[in-house]
Amino acid sequence: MELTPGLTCHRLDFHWPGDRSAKRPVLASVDARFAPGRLTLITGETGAGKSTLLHLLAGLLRPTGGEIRADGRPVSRWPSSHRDLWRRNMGIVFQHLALVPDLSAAENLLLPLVPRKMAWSGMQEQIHERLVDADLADLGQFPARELSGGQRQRLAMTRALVGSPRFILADEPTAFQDDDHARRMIAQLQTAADEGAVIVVCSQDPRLKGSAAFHHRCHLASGTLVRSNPP
Amino acid sequence: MKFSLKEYPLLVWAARDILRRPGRELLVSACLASVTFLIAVALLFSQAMETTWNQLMARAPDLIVRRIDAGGWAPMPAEAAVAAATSVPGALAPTPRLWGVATGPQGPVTVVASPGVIPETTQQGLTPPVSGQAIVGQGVTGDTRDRRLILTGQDRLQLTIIGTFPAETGLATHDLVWMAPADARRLLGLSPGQTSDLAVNLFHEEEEAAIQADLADAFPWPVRITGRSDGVLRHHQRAVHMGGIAVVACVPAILALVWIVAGTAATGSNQQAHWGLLKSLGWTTGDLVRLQISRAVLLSAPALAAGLASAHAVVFYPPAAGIAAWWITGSQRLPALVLNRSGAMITLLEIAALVIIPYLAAVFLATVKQVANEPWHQMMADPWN
Amino acid sequence: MIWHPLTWAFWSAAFTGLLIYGLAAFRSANVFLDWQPDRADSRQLRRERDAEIAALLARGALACLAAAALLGLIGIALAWHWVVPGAMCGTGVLQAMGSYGSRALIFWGLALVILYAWWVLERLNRFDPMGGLTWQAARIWLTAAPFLLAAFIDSWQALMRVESTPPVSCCAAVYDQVLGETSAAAVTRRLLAASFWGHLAGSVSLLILAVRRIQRPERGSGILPAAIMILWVPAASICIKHFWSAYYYQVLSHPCPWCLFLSDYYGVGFLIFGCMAAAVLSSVSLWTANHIRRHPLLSKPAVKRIHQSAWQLLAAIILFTILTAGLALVWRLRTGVWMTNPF
Repeated sequence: MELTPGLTCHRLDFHWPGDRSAKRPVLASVDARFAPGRLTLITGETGAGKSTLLHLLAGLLRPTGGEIRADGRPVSRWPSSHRDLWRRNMGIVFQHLALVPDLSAAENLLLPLVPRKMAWSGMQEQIHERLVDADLADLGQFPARELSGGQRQRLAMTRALVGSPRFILADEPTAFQDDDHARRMIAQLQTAADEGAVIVVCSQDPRLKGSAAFHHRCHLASGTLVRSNPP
Repeated sequence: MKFSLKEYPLLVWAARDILRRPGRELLVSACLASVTFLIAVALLFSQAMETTWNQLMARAPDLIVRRIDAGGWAPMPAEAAVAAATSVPGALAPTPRLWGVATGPQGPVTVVASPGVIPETTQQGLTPPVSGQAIVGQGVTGDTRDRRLILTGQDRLQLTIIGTFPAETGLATHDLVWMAPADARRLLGLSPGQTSDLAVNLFHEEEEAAIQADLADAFPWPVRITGRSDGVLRHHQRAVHMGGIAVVACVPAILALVWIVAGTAATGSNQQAHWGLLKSLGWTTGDLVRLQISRAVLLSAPALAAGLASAHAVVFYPPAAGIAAWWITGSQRLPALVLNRSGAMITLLEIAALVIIPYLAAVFLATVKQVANEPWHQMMADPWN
Repeated sequence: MIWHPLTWAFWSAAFTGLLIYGLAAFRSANVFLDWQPDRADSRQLRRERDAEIAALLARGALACLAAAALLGLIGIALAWHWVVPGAMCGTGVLQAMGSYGSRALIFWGLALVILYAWWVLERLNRFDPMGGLTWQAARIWLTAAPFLLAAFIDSWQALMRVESTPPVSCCAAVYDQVLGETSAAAVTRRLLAASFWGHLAGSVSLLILAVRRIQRPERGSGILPAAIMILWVPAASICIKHFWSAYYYQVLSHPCPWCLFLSDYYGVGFLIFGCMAAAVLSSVSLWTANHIRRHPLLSKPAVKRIHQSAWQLLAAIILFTILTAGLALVWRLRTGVWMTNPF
């Protein structure tokens, strides 16, 4: 396969371990390409496997068949040591946010930056800029558990964007946001896309379904991913 | 795994991570400090004993010649002994010595008579004792302030104490009484012209073993020759045995430390989920192991310093040193001990190998076992999921 | 001597290292027996996890075993001779240990060289995301096992022997070898002369090879430096013992390498033999990296490694020469004579 930029799935299969699960695959022969500089929205019913697809794209899970390529490299076939290293190019917003509750907002943003061996001052600068962008500048020293649901979600998004990753995967990033903040989050994703990032968002949020910001839309059902038309 | 200056953020993060569980880390730190203290006291004590004895023995004569007969030790004629020793090539400055054992107020004492000056006493402003006077070691009269000293040997002698030997010579002068030659002869029953033994120095101290046979042949009566290396060896072996037994005695403490560390490093589901999260954010398994090792190093450095400093104080500085003396030797008096550079280096290496290596290995193994999982499975350990 | 605290420290480091080595070897054995890089099933995933854990454990094991070896060396050189009757330096300690002592040193050296080769290979393997050299790394790790076991067994025998041995004669061990029968002495002289010139020629060859690899790391063979090193090490050791050490001791004949480690000579033995060890490890690194250079994905990092190793070899040989022949030259310039005669 040629060195195609972006994230590419080729005949991607996934089922959970166990004989019974093998008969009900979560993903079956999924082919997709997520190009750089583009926002892709994936919709689907609850339990369709959207989060699982995102976890596979992030290399957190290994597919049971097929492969995933990132900028032409077969990352899904790499051992975990190299996938972990490759994931420094990745920003992930989890559905359940996965913030560290006893760390402050600023410290949560530090987590992706520490292993990149950046200069300490550079890290502090980036964190401050991102907190301002996310309207969380005054809350930087507060522990994450003391933030509201919406603030925590903005923090999770900020953590995904800090470090300017090449690939951004977001699972229900606007679930707890009001309209204004939802628009701001989409604008942040658009800015990242303009800088060449590959962006994949899974969501049932009607505000995202109706947004013109997304270049591609797909629908996941019965283990297959099909292109859908914009509303 | 590599550590470099670029690991500074990791070190800062490791310090922050320690503060997230202060109670647990304090427990590990206290255990480490305690184990270090126990082992360091024993090792410092045995090493310092060895070094102090070495330094004292460095000024001892290379060989001592004593006459023996059917009844054991016997005095020998000084002039004939000196002439015999002088006739052996390589033997230098044979010196007759006058010394023996007598009974003092606290028990047996070693009596010496030197016509010359003992340098350590002049530093204290003491002059050599004349007839009727004595300079004594700190164990001779005990805690009494009585300046009279009554000794019993072949005769009974009353002397006036004019001074005590300095504390740093305590290892060799604890039970020593220095008196005038005439008094010593009266006490020990030696006539003028007789000597207790002969001290001989050598041109090459490496010839110590080789020259003994020639020296024995030169004397017209049976003699027993003792080399300095024999005395040094005996004390080395004793100090080493003491240190080794102390290490064995501390093995349960080291094992307990390893268990505690492994137990605290072993993770619940929260920590598993945290590591899974870190991996999803770009931390590799190597980074996580480096983080844990950095935490262990940051935690152990002050604990080790505290343990070593306490042990150093207990071994070398009174009154804490008196407690150590009583604990280790059962005696209430501890000679002033010294430690040299190579002794200190070896002691530090021993402590590093006996405490730090098992501690870091426990942290390392407990971490490796748990971090090398797929990040998704680790994150799912969080009950929230 | 079994009671010496440094003995316990040695065993603490050694057994910790052996434990971690064993854990790594277990995982490496799984990889060696069942590595299927083209497959992505659960079995291969387990093997990949084994490989990752083995690599991590192996680094810890290497650190512990190297620490143990260093402690043992310090024990022989600086600490244990004080409690062996008649011993004045490491020669007396080795004499008390019998043949086990020398064998233990050789096996420790071989084991550590193999583990170092593993480390070089593993560091280069990390540049290949597919881990193309993982199987080879597992194989090399397991190769060290018999040498390591032999090192442990001989170390145990050596240290246990010291407790019950009669007094040694350190000088006799040294001088008996020097003062022999006439015919044996003549052979010895020829051997010494050959070692002397061989070691000088070897040093010059290694310097030239190192410079050439620095200038052109992508060309040349790793076999040649390794082959020269195999001959150079024993020749250099003989020369240190019979020629160069005299300039430190400033006596005409005292062929004892272990006295160089004593504080009387500022522990210069650690530096001299440390340079020798660094040169050996550099040549191992050169050979390993050269071998890996043919791997298409690893060619660039392997060439970089060759360049680094060549520099290390150059520095080690230069420092070694300064510490040995350099001192002899200084003596010659000061006094107008050589102290030892290699002819």
